[in-house]
Amino acid sequence: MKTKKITYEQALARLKRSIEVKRNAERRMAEEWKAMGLQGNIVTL
Amino acid sequence: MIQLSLADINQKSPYQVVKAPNGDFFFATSLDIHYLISFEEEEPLGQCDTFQFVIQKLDMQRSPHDPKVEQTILAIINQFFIEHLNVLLYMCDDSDGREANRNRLFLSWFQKHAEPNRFTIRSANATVEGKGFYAAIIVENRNPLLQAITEDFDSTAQALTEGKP
Repeated sequence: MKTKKITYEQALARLKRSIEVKRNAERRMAEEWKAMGLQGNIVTL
Repeated sequence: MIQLSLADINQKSPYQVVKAPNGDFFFATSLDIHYLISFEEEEPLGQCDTFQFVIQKLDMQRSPHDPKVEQTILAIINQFFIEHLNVLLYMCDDSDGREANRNRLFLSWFQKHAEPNRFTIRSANATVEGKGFYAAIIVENRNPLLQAITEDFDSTAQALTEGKP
């Protein structure tokens, strides 16, 4: 299978979507800590 | 939401792993430091389903090195690959300037514990709009889409590294 060349704009859009996935997960997980009754310093590794 | 066998994870994990209320994976260490692990659905790479791996920890102070933590996290990741022939993507950003250390730490865990020749790992870094990003993918070598996946990842990384024309 030949890979289609990816332009800078396409690569940047993909990176931004991945960052958004991560940010959404971080927000959801922050709520999850609260739901479990746990408090403290949250660090994403 | 990804499903993994907790029974199988806990056979290999030094810390007891349980499901958090919303389906993430949770464990607490002997020093009462808590971890949440999530697999987030991503855009496919090389037409293969891809999940972004997110780790959060909750503690009140800087924690000492605990080898059981990496063994527990690797037990979860190992189960992911046993049950899903997908791509695992790990990303760091430079929100606190530690992204390079985290990326190296995560990859060093893999290089230390993974079975030889079982996985292909690709990593990349790019500076976009003044921010640094590091990413790595882990793919099992038995994945029939391995070549397409790594070419897709490499092409994306190359386009970002070369920058805007």
